[in-house]
Amino acid sequence: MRLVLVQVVALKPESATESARPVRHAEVVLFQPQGEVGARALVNLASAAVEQVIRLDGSQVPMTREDLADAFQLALRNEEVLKILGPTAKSYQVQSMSLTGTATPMENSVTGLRVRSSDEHDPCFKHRCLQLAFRRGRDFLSGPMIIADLTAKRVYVERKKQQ
Amino acid sequence: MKSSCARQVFFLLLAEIVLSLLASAQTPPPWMPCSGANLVDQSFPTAGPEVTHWRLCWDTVPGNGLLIRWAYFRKSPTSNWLFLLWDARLSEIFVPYHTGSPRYYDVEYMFPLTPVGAQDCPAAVGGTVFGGNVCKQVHDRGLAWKSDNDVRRGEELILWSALAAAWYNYVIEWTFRDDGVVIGRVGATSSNSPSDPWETHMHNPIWRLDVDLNGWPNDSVALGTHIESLPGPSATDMEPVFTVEAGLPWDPHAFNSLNVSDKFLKNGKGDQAEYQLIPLPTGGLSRHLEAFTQQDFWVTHYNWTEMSARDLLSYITPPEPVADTDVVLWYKGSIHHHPRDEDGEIVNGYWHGVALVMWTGFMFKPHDLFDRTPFYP
Repeated sequence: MRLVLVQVVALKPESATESARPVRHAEVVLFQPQGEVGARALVNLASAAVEQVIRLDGSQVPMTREDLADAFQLALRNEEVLKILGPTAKSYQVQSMSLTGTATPMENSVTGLRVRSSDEHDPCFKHRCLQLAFRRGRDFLSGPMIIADLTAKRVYVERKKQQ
Repeated sequence: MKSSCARQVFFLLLAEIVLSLLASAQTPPPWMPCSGANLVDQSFPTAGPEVTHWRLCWDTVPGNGLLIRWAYFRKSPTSNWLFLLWDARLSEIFVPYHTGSPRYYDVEYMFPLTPVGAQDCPAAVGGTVFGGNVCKQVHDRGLAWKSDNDVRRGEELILWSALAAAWYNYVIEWTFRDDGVVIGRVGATSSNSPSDPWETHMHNPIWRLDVDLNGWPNDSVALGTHIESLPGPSATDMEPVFTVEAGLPWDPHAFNSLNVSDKFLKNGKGDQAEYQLIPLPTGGLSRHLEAFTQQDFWVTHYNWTEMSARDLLSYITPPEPVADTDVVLWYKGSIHHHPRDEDGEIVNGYWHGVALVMWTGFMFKPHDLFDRTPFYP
């Protein structure tokens, strides 16, 4: 089970006659990679009670650095990817962030963007897919798209036709 | 000589008493759910006696970036503080490429913020850096009004940060002007896609604005609509009220706006006060295959679980009533990025270059809130 996010949320008092102070809660999103199910729980911070739990399917759960790390590991097991990255493949590190939520500058880093397909025959129509981007200093590795399908545990290397 | 000096002291004391009475006549600041750097309290003008005043909270969240949690506006020192925003944030940035693939959802990966430092946010332009990733700027905003020889320059408070979304940076900017106007903008910049650096694509930021004008109950939304009686010479303006949740397109010929009112909020002339959401497109507004991109405006009933623009169609199915209640506005802007040679080039297998910032956004503007133009003598 993974903790995806925990953040304080301010809910409005139900009655308009109450003071305008928000009711302090925490929103907690959890994700179980096996089975790809998630949950959003609403915790009342005053009473320390879980007030509401909503089931989420995998497509509704935001992706995190842990997904990126999984995607990178999948990519490193793909021969085509290793060929593209060359001898520097192992020098890339998953992009990290500071406690204040700021991206940490790194020389060789891998980041990702969530992709969804509009074609229902494409695995990424429903699967949790992340396109990887490899950065060296200021510049990004050009060439084919490397997409990690975290649901199917596969990597797709796609070359686009030049426009 | 002695009498003149006593008179001076008397008038000085009198002036001090009058000033302290005026100060005590100000409405006290409202309680806020934040403190420290996250609480922004800004009166205008920045020099001289206060005319208007903003008091708001900001926060940063991975993925959504910089958001506004509460915002109050006071239109004069003796007016009540007006509650305006409960929560204002970017809900999604959807980026489809022209060939149909890829289609990125840039808020659904919990991106960090870029570092922000003194070079991004120089003190010389009224900048203050918070936490190494947020910039506050307070400065001149150009002409507020001009009337022959009379003129007034306005001022504004800007909060901004930038999402580090792989090769993109998204600048998320919130502006609070001295005249009560709020502007939300997103700027797309940094690098073209290294896989498809020459493929045209669209960046579609979708904002979720939990507007609570004068508090959360009793709000309604009307569609500001201008109609020319072509081929005739006359024109009319209408404001049909939303009775139920809906999504609808923005028609530039109709000057559509989403006009929020609270049934108890009137100005000193007895007129219904409104805040109007006015699109500020740059070039146009896109349409794509996905249902949530096929409208520009959405009006929904408040529900804390409804935060994702991608699910908008399900939020309005079946449609709930939205008149005289707690409403949420959604607006989709678009940035059409047709890559240019200036954007960069491939050097030794790596994409090297930077794309200039391209903006889109909206204005949230008071209408009949003041009794007269603020900052006019």
